[in-house]
Amino acid sequence: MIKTMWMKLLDILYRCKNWIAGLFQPLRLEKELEIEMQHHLAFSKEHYEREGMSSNAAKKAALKGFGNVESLKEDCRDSWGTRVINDFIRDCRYSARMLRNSKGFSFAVVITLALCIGANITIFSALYHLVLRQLPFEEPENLVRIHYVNKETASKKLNPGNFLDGASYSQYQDYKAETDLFENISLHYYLFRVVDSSQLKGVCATASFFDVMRVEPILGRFYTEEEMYPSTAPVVVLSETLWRTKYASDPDIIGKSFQFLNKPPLTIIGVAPQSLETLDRNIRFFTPYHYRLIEHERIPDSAFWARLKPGVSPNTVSERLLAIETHWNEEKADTQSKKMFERDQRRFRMNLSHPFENQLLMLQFGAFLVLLIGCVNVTNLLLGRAKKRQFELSIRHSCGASSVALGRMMFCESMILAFLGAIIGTVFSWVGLFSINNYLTSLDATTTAANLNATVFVWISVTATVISFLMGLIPLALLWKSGSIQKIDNSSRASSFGKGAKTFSNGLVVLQVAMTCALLIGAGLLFRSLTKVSEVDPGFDPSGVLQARIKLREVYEDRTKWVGVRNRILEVMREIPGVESVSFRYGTGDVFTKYTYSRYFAIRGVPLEPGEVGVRVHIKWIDGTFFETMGIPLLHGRTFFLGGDEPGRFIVDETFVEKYLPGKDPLVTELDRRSSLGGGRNDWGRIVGVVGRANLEGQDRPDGLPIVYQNLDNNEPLWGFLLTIRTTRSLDSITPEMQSKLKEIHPQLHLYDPMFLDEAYHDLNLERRGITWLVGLFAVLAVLLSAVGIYGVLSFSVEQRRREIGIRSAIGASRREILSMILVQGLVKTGSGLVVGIIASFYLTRFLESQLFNVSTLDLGTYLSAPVMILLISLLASYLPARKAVKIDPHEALRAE
Amino acid sequence: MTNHVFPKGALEMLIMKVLSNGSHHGWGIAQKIHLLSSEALTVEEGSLYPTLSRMQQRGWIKGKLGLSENNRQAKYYTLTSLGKMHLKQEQKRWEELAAGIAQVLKSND
Repeated sequence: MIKTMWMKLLDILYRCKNWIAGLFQPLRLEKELEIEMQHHLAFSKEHYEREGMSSNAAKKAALKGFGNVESLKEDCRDSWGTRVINDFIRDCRYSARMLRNSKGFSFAVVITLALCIGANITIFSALYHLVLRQLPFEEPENLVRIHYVNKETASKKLNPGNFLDGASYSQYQDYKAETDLFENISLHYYLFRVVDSSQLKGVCATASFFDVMRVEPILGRFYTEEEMYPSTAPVVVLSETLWRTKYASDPDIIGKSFQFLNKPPLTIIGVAPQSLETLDRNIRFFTPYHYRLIEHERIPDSAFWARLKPGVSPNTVSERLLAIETHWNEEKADTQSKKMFERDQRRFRMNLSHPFENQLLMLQFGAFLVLLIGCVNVTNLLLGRAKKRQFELSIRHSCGASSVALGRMMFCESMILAFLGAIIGTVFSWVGLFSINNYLTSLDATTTAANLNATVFVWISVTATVISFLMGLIPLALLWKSGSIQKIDNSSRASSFGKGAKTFSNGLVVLQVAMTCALLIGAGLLFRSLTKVSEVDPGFDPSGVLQARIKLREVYEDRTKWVGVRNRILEVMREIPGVESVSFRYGTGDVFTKYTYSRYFAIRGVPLEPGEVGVRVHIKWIDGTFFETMGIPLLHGRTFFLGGDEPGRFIVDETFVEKYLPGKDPLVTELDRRSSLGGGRNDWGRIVGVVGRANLEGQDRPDGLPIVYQNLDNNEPLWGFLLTIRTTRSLDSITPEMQSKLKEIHPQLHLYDPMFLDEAYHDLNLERRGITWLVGLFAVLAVLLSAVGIYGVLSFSVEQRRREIGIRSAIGASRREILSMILVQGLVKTGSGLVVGIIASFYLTRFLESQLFNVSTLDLGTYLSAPVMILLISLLASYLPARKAVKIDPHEALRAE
Repeated sequence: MTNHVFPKGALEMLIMKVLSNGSHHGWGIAQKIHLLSSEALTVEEGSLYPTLSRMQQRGWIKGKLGLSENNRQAKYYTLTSLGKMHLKQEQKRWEELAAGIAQVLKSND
């Protein structure tokens, strides 16, 4: 038994060894075979001669006794096992020569494939990098980020870090106790601090944060639970990037001091690995979450990172946490919190998904469609070519090439084309990724660049191989089925291609057109949205408006100084030449905020709906020159007085008047600010002015809420404000001057993120524009490919029907009749494709809905114009072969076989 | 002198047996089989070579170029130790098979 196994093993080993040896010395085996066979024949011949035959007779007898030399040689070669490879190499050489001979065809195929594959690689790499790739932590599938959403924010797709709601330490403690759900949980929020006059973003987290992520420090250690108490010495952990860039990877960094502006110095106790920066690319430091005396205080924008116990689903966690909250509110909360809880309907949301997921998936779909269309084209081209070579193939078959051998030959050809296409496509995608990276990083500062990586290459090779198979073998299979290879048929052009092949080819074209139609409609809808968005009147004049942040808190600890400094700053800014108007407003975020501050007001004399607390509006705090600086027109009344106005004065916009005061005189209306819980201070104020509607939240997010403006200038100390300037000068010319004026007031005053509003306004659309243009590009590609496809199929058909067309024209068909015959053929194919495409679009555009603005998914204009465009182009594509058909000389056609 | 059709594997066994008594070239092997069987078995000469090639691939025999009797270059084959093992195994199997067949033929049922 063992002996048998042993012998089997040896058998295999010997065969492998000899096979490999054969690969390296193919000629030796051949030579030896030739020698020994020749020897055998000579020996045999001599044997027969000795028996008395003549030399010639002996030779013949020897050969007869031996058998068919070549055939026997083939059998020997079979046993060597190298035959496959040798044949393959030979096929490849032959294919390469054939392809070189038909340069036009090869070029068309390679370029088509390169474009399609390139597009797919680019999008897929981005998708993989941003969405599919795992977080670089252990068991990332168990990591979740838990945050609150309330009624207002729940429906919006907000980036992490854009929530008003936060969590409290006592919640953290409660959740920590749920040990059957969480292996570990931590609480954190992001903060910005100035270090050596540059602003850094960092994480303030509980000590358990590092345990949740299961990371080890590169240097030193992480902070502990004890260090979360304010009495301990303040410490900080640096991120790897900060350590590398600012401290040049100094190995002795531990123990050195790190200081935020105007805060006591911190001791550096460790350096965190770079993997933590995948959570947010801008993280530079980690500080302990300080235990708060007020445990229930919610820090805005805080959230939990948790590692779930394996097998625990997010839904379970969500329900449990909600139950805890509800219970707490019923048992322990005061009435105020209770009401807030009910009002806000806080829920939990957990995700790790990336904000661009949907868009990228959509783009991937589009790119895939283009790839399919390209493949269809190429297959049709190859089909035509195979038909041309039918004669050659049938000769080969009769000489002994099996279907396998023929298949191998066709596969070789298509493999060379596919791999060439894949290589060039990779080059294209490298370029494509380069531009996408620029676009991505300007969209979302937290992402890192996407790169081509090994997985992608593997996928490309697999795809290319699969494509080669399909492209090479389908035409062959069709020809084989039609039987035209099995018989040598010189008049092969006259015979039908085989019904199967023809239907297949036509079906492919119809599919192509359908996909193109769907893509084009999608692109059309997106473009219309883009146009609609840019048509939105912002309501103010963003060009020439410069905005920058100024933070007083970090420079002046004494609050009483803030008002004076602020006024001084405004004064010196006004002195700068080229500045037309200066104002300030509250807020340290962008002008175009992604989240909303909405409040409720009661209007004197306007009854409220039952159950309503008041009318809902946006509030903005500004000074008197705001409208002038922003270019918002003043319609009635006046703006706020500079340097202070009477308390209780409001300015509203025209939407407010239209909605709530139709037919009334706004300037005598009184308003009272109401809290969302229904109570008010009964502090009625008066409207003193009405201004035009300004889209300060961005063009595509109008929620129809009116804006009420309140005066900031009433000597209220603000720890920071947004400086807004109208100027004719450029950013580069005015910013240094502004900075130096600030420095004259105090050397540590700094102007943060100065930028022109029109750039920011324009950038709001960046995402939308990028996607629209990409889909548009795909659509154009698809249209071109489809046109080529129709042209190819029709001209092939004309070739095939040469004889028939010749006969037709000989018996009297006019040029026009022949022309229209071919054109109709093309139109029928296109038409059926369009019908399928339009129907498909009804369903598919549903997925686009989130991207559209003021355009319905069934927008008639797009659904009409896209097919018409395709129809025109396919007419053109059909016209060329039709012309060729017309030019067929009946005499020649009938003569040529 | 009748030509029998060779059952599968028998040719290899016979070649190995011939080579166990000394190395031969292809023609020599065919001749030897013919002689040793008292001219009962004739090998179709050409078909020898693919079989020899196969056996060589599996390491049962080893081939080397040398000068033959008529001063021509020929390939001489020798049996390897692995081949010897296979020969023994095949021989045993063949004898069992032959005995079994003979027994059935002898019985009178």
